[in-house]
Amino acid sequence: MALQGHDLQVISQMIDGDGEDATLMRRIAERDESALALLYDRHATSAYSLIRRIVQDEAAAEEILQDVFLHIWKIAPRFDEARGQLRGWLLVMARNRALSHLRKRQDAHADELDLDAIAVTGMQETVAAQNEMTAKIRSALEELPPELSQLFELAYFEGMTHSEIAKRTGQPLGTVKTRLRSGLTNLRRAFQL
Amino acid sequence: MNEHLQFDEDFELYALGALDADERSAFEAHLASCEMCKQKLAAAQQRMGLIATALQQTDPPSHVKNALLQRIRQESRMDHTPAFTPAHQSFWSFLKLPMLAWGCVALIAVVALVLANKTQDLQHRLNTLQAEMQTQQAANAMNRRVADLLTSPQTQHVALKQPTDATKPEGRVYYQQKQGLLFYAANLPAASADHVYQLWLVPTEGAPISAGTFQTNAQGEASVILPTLPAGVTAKAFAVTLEPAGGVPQPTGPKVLLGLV
Repeated sequence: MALQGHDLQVISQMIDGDGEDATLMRRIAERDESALALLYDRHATSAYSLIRRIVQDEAAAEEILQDVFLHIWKIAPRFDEARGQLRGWLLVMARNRALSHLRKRQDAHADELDLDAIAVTGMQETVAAQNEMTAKIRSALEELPPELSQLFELAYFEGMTHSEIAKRTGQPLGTVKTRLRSGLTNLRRAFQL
Repeated sequence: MNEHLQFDEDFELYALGALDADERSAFEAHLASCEMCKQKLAAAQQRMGLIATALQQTDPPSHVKNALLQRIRQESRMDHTPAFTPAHQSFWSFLKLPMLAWGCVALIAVVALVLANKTQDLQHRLNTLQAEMQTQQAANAMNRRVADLLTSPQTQHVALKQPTDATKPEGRVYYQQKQGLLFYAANLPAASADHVYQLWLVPTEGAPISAGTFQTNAQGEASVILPTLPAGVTAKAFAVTLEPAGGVPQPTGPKVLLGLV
């Protein structure tokens, strides 16, 4: 099917929106401090909000936020922009580090895994699409029934496994698995723009 | 675990860190040898990360950025620490002799050139092999999905015929909400150059959904294999219409085939 004018515009915006992080990462790889400062301005709020929610400690959250961006500074020369979107990976790294702090568990390999764990395709997006997706995710989270919401929060913000959640909530393990799977199915729909 | 990890939720559960140790081990054992599942996991990890964008947003205090930049400068200074000690310098000092130095440079350049050529050849062979492997993996994955769809007891079989003529042409749809759709047709006359056939999934609620356009071969046969469709749609009918080249968002042309579920 031939591309319409609107499709071309969307594709162009996709390249521009995603390209900004890629450009900054290239400059950071060349040891440009101002580029890191700009990248920080773009992503620090969402990363900090997530970290603070997990660790529930302002001072620790500030320290972890610095660690995240310091790590980006270090690995920028190895960052392969063709592998996908920086924002998702950065937030995964922020969550992993915050959970490690929360559970007093230092996993030296977590960031190596993160670097490889960047989606290859399908996650590029415009700012407008980002906003739309954020609204959809928020709506999906709000629409989760309380019993699902509780399980999801224990998994997402406390890093608990199925068994740990079952123990904490007193629910049968099978129920926890089924409910969590159902909650994730609902959430995944939010990403199908 | 020999089978592919089938459900997207499994990737999300792993990305979330919710799998218990035994489940995680089995997942990782499969992941170690499956590029396709690695990519699915990467996408799930992205989704898990992006969920954080929906949280209530709080700006970090401004001193955090200043402290970060200070740490960056310290890192940079450490990176620029001289690598050679005076002892090392004395070893390399023979290069101060111009002829010897240029001789070494020329020798290094020749060796580097030879190695670069070798590396380029190897890289080219590696790229070719990787491309072949990816093509094979994609074909295997597609074959597996087709086999699963054809053999699943949940798959709906729908015969499509011309509304006014039950003898020919005819088509057959195999459809399951989770696994997708296969369509085969026979005895279809060739569409004109500026037209295509378009397959439609008619859901129980809402407008028809395009399942792709197609042309017939010289024998009047055609197929549509696993088109991209929204997940979980309940079908009440399938239809084929004749549409302008490139297809249309909603059916406009004459119905060529129709089959009710």
